[in-house]
Amino acid sequence: MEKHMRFIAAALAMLGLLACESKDKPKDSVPPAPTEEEQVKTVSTEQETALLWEFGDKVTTNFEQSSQALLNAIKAFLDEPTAETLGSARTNWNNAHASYQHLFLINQFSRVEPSLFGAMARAQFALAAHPIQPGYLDYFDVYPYSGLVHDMSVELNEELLRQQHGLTDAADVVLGLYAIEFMLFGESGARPLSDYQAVLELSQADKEKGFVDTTETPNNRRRLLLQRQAELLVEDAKQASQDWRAIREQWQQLSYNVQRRTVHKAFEQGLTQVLLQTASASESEGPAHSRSAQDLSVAIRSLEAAHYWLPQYLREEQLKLLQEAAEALELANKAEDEKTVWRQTYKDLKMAMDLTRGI
Amino acid sequence: MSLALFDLDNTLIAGDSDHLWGEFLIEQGLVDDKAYKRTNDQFYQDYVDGSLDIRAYLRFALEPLTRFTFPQLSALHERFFASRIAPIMLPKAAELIDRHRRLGDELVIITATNKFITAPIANKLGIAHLLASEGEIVNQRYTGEPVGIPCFKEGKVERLFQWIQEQQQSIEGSHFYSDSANDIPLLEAVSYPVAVDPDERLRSVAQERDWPVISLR
Repeated sequence: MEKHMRFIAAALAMLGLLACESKDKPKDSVPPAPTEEEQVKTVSTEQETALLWEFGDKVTTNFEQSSQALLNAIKAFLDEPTAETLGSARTNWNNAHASYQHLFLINQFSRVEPSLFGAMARAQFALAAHPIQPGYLDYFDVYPYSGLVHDMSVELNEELLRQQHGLTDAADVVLGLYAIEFMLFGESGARPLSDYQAVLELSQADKEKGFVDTTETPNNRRRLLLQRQAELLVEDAKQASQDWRAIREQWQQLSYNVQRRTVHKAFEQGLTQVLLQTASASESEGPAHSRSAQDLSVAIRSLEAAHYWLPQYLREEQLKLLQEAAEALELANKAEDEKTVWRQTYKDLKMAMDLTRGI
Repeated sequence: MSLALFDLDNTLIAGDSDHLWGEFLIEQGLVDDKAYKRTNDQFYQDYVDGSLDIRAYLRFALEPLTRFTFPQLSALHERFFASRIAPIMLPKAAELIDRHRRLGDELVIITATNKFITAPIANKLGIAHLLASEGEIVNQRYTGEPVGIPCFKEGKVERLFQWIQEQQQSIEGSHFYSDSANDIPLLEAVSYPVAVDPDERLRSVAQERDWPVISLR
């Protein structure tokens, strides 16, 4: 105890000495270099948090709206299954999928700080679980009677669908964008319209298969499953927006250093992912390749929302590299030499990554 | 039109789908791992030794199927195929099948492994006819009981001749490809027996009888 008191006294004396030294300095002496913390702040910490949360609010709200538009289009398609209404549902799926890519940055938080952002991780699994196992949902490849569509023992209500989602394996995907994608586009984008024709009366063949009610037929179960999936997507998108807003209060209780470290980690994690995806997407070709370019571009743009939190001396360069990479990818499919675009994008992102490592 | 008959496990694929299915169930946590693995391994050893009690084995293999609906089983099989079977598909087997197809032969897989496991694999190989051991199905679910003649040893011969009669085919000019000494009865029955990457017992019989020995590995 005595030893402890002596240490405190010595520390206080040291602080006093430093204080005296500071007082004794001449007024015209060169001011000390700003600490790193001081360098970072050109907007206040409150503003930094506000900007980040505004960004999150905006992207989650937009996604809510695009999910609602998808649900409306799916309802219209189920009311009247035609090539046009199916086309519109697919277009709305593409829009919702593009809108989801804007959540890229905020999704990184749940990876680097799962205790605080756990709700966002759950939202990610509900909204965009991937990869999916198509046979868990419907017929696929050499499995003509596979999945929930054909499994009459599972009632297609919210409770059971949520229970089935990820039941025994992460690939047991029932909900979210990618499950809906398979229901709308089918295998290799070739889902026939006839899959969604409502069965109003049981045929002799249906009766021979053992169906006693039209609700048991695969077409009607498929219709119901798709509608439920779209409804739950909207519900989960709303929940994600609310969760994001709710986390803000806890976030503000963290020290500024912890907040900054968390944003840096999320930024670095996101950057690593886009870098790896750029490397892998640049190897493929075709429509998936073009979609990858657009998705990556949006993901990169979402990272820009974290730039306020980077040290000021890096911001400008970091932002420039990210913008260059995003712009190049937006135009990638129109470029004469696409490979060069991908290579340049990779270089920009790699440079951004190297800068980040120095933080 | 001649018949081209193929055993499946360790002949057209580089492993035993029945045994792998057991391992898959263990990996998925769907069966008690230690006890199931011990029994699964023992049955496989019995099969290799030629002492397998096929009905006892079929009951063991069919029991887990009773717990699931058909659509659930299909989804499980899809995952099983991707993780366990796709990696052991043999390009040379595909070439051999194709060669017989081009000759206009009727292609048939004839296997002791149950139909649930083997039907999608036969489909993937593009072979429409499958003679396999069967499990009883009541109200769209497996009961766990084998049904009919198990497609094993002499049972394979019996099942084939039943099928030949139904389909009005002929054994004349037929080929049969197999890796296992358990298939000697059927190899003896066809016009052109071929040992494929054979086990020790079949290799020595093939050498004695001057049957061709090939490798698809």
